[in-house]
Amino acid sequence: MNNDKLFRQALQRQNDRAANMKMPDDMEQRVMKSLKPQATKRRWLYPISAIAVAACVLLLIMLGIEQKHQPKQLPVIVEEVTEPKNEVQENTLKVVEKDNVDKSQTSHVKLANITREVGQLHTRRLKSSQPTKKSSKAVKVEEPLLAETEPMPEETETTQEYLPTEPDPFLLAAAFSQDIRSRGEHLYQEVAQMINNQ
Amino acid sequence: MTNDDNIIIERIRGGETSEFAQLVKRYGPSLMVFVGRIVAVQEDTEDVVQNTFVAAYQHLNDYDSQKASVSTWLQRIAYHEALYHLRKRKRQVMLPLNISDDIPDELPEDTTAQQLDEAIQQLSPEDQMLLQLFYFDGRSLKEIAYITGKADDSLNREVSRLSSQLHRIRQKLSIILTHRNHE
Repeated sequence: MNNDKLFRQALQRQNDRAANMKMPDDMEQRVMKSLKPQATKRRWLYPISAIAVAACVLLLIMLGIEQKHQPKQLPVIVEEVTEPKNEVQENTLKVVEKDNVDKSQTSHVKLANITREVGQLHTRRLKSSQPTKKSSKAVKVEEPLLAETEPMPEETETTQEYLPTEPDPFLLAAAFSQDIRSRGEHLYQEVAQMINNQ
Repeated sequence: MTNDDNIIIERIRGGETSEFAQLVKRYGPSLMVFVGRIVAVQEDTEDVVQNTFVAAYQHLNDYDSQKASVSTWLQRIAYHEALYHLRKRKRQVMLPLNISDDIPDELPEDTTAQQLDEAIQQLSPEDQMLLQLFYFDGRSLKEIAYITGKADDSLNREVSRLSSQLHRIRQKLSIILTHRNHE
């Protein structure tokens, strides 16, 4: 390469400019300070990682154990056993349980029985000619019905289990919809009667 | 000196982190000059050198005394740190893309020192460092290949690539200087 001398001189000048850059006095401190979190991180990295893994494994095991011991939500299948109409007071509900049931769930079933019966009685009342009156017949029916219920367990002396302070909203909703349905039917019959009379 | 460096490195690997300050004190000034060739700004050069030492500490277990000295190993790290720093700043070099073989690699006759300085500044950082290492430092192609090559590159392949690259660099300078003379 010709002008080799010129070329080397150019490189020399470039190097001289770079040589003017002096290392600052605090470079050692800056570097060592940058290393410290690395050293600390490295020292504690493996123990912390091991603890984290162990904690995750323990958590998974605990969750598994908890799910095993959790009482299952029992799917309840309710069958209505219909009795002859002149024996309303003998209508009962049989509950088919899929699994073992404790006493508290038995009381829930009883509550469902009573609420359902109330809804049915109300429907029958609407179908009669005087739906607004609370017939003594209904009262009479209710009394024997209550008498027919199974005796309460001894440990629950209060009626709270059978008549809770707050009724089950789903059962109430079912009774309400049944009520609306029967009113609709009654209305339909009235309209039909009016049309026939015209 | 090499034996001392190896002893220091073994101590640092053993957990005596404070020994690393000795390496900083020993090789810091030369690294500043090495990086300053292509970075050219004091603050940036300091940052690059600091990052170089931190990276060296993190990869201390990768150092192999059979392949290179501590100085060369640090220069390798510094070279790649400097390039990374310059790429972040998006330093661009405007040069013709196609360099055919018939372009001469000799400088024009009437080239001045200032023109040559400016032409070298227009080269890429990689090319500038290559010129410095080969023509100014007098390093072998094998040593230059170790400094500038990537971890997964074969050394022999890198050496053959460098020799053709040096030729290309001279052609680039010739183009730049010829272009200037015509302006």
